[in-house]
Amino acid sequence: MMAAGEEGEEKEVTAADQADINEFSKLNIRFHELEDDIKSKKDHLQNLQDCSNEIMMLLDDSEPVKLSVGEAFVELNQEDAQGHVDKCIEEVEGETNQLQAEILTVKSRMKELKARLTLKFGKSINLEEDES
Amino acid sequence: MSARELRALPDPLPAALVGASSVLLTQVPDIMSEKTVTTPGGIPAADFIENVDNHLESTKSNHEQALAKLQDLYSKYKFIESRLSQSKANLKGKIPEIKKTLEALKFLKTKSTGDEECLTDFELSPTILAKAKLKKTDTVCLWLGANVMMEFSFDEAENLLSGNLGTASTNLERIQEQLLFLRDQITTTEVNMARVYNHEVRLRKSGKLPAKAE
Repeated sequence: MMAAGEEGEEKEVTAADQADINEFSKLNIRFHELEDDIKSKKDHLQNLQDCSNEIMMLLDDSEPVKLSVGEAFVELNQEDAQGHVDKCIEEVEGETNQLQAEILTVKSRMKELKARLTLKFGKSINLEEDES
Repeated sequence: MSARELRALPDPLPAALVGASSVLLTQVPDIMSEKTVTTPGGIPAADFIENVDNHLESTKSNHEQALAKLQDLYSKYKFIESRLSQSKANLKGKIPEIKKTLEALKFLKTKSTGDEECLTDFELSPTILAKAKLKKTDTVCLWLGANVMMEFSFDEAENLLSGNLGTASTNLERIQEQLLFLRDQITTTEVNMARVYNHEVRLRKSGKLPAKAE
């Protein structure tokens, strides 16, 4: 987390600084978690949207489609299937937006903390990516 | 128990930590039990070292000993962290599974209101699907584990599954909370180690301590 300081004069770390560092560390982890979650949600959303498009593009409107529910596939008419998929899209979109809002707050808070800590410790603190 | 108290005693730390982690271990596989009461408090807190000089004096140790102690604590924290992360991953996998089952159940429920038969392709074994016609039904069988399957009415099944989902979610939250707390302790310990180390380097540079023999 901290490089062994080269400069002779070193600033003492106070409890408040420690709290900031701790918060930064936690936010950093949360940030990566959110990134992963958002990515998987987006993939899922993409799949659902493809799915919705595919149903629309089917030539024969009366042909039933098979929809995966749980572990099995269920035959449904296109209208119901479309409704089901659209509902899923809506849900996933909502969840994605929520995650994106959170990642923004995390980002700005991290920036704030980083600014404050770098101001005090200069080069002897390293807040870049250094842990998984 | 605070870390200060821990330091005063000869070596109570391993027992405390091992105790905490074994509770954590048993906690996760059975997400249906309510007896799990580990709080972030179950993990000993790491004290922030206000002043390295005072710290060394009060613990009557030199830099090396202090560092060794911190290192010891640090690896214990890391051990708990790996356990907790594992539990978290487990739960994160379990929750979507429960959700999927619930979804299927809800689907069956809506189907059961109509009169028409429902055509499905179900998995006989991986890569083999078979067709089935579902007649109107109002019960499902849930796999309870331990080779037991039980028939439930839709509502009962839904209650059971939502209950499981709820427990799994609370457990996940609790683990998340513990992990955050642990993260604080780990970071504090990391910073403590760096500061004790830097302190020693500074003293040697300024000649207050003899230079290290290579």
